[in-house]
Amino acid sequence: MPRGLAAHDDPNTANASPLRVPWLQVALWFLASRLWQMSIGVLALVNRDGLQALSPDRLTGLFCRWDCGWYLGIVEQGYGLEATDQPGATNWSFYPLYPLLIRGVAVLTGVSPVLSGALVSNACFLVALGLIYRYVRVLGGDHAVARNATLLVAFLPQGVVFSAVYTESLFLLLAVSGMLALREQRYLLSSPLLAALSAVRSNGVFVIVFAVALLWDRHGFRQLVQPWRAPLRYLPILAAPLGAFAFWSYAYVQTGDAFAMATSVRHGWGWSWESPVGNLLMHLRAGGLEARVWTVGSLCVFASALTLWQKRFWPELVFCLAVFLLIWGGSIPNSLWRYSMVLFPAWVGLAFAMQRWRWLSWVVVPVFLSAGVFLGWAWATGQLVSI
Amino acid sequence: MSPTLRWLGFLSLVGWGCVYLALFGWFKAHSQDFIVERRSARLCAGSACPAANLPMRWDVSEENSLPETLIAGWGRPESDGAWSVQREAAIHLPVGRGLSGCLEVTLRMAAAGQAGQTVHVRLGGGQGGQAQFEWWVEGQGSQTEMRLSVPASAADERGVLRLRLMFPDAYRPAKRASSPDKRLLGAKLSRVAVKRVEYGEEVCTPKLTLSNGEGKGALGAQLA
Repeated sequence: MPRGLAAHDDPNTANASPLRVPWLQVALWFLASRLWQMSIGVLALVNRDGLQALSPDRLTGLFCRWDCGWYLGIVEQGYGLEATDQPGATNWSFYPLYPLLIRGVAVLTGVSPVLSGALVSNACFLVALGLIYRYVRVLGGDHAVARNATLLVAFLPQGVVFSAVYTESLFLLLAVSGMLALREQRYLLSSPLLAALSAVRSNGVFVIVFAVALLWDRHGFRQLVQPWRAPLRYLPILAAPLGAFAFWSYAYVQTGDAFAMATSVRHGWGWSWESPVGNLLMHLRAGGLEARVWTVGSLCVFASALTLWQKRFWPELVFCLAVFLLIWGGSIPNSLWRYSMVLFPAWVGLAFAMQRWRWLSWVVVPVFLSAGVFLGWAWATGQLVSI
Repeated sequence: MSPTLRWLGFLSLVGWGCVYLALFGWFKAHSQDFIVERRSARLCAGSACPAANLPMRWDVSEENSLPETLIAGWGRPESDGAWSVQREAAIHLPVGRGLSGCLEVTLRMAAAGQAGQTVHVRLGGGQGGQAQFEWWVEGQGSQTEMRLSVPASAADERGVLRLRLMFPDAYRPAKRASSPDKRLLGAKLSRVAVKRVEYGEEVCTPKLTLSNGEGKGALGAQLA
């Protein structure tokens, strides 16, 4: 039985299995959060453009901002497109699984790629929320903690990206499902999920850190370094880079450059890996308003991730730290907040912390609401801070 | 699970890991920067370059920005040159096919910062092989002019002479001082020139000479 499960039975779920996901409640939280996010967007558009902002095209456009164009380009024309106003920026910077899913749904349903992308994102997000609930229960949290963690993710500032044509929902779904399967020792199930994760975004491969840390935490170092004793446990670790390797192979065949993604972000976005601390200080000191918002947001997620310490959830903590090292090591601050917010273990840790220190709720809720309005408004009106 | 199955499973995983390593090594060894290749292919309208009318000289500025030959890694040209903005930058010179003898490529640049910077350059890639040089570029705005002598056969099959410059000491001023400049600066390139040189019967071997007299920096040159 997963650690701590029996110790946290809850009156609300006393008659049910503690691992059962209350899907109806989750669906209601999902709907409420989507209504909240879309209301902010619609209000922002009406405030700027009047009632003409309520046309179907403009409302559909709320699902498509910034990188959405890159994904749609892959869906409609495949790889190889380069931005005319950003030399070196090509759609090779974007991993293929999400556009493939959009294309599949568009072909099956006949809807436009934008709507297809929104369908994929919302469906993934709904299931991801349910699995986050279950994840907390597996970690030994009671119904209240699981509910709070799910609500935190549902109402994340700029959570509109979970409904938009962005990879965040799919990444979140595959991360939480793969890690949950690992926590439940279902290695055959977790392997394809983790392989798919690394075909969504490059940092998906960092889930290997989690898998290794979990083996260490659960079986000790001695067992960890004796993989011949239980090779099945190591299958997810080997499977995790498969998606990335598949993309690299495809890129090599098409361009002669297996690392076309890295090449493109270097030339097109000026990305290079440097000292994370130096980068953070530079963003805070010399960056504009946007860079500071992204950096501070990312640091807040980092602080939330540190709360995993109090419950000794080491595997989740080291996974978050590894991803932070990668994204902070990037020399450009763009989207630091968005890259950080999908690290769901940070919100799980915060939910546990909120149960222990009740006053935290009085800080977290107002921050989420005000930042949510600010970033949601910025998203709808196309402000750079929401990139 | 029987011990045989366990060992079979383990060996399969080891084999899988080896496939990853081999594939990664293959990719590292054979991948070429596709942005550089794509831009280079546009030189001479994608076909073989005709023999250039040497000597050629460009003074890099806003008006004369060499957009086609400053292939990658360079920032927007300013009035007195263009900064390198990545740790690697490429210059491709369409000298043309069929040249023989020796070419002398001149690069004039000034390093970012007070102290100066080391610059590595790899030149060539054609049948004449590849030459590697390393030198020291003065800081504080002092111009250093490097003259690289190479066989004309170092140009590739389309007649493009490829220079790959590396700036291991490149830095972002915003990280060191109160400067708002967040670019990754190596050196500012102000002049590129190519001419033929005659050495009589002497064999053309790659070499580097510095024009600033002090020779503070020719740290070495070698054929790869």
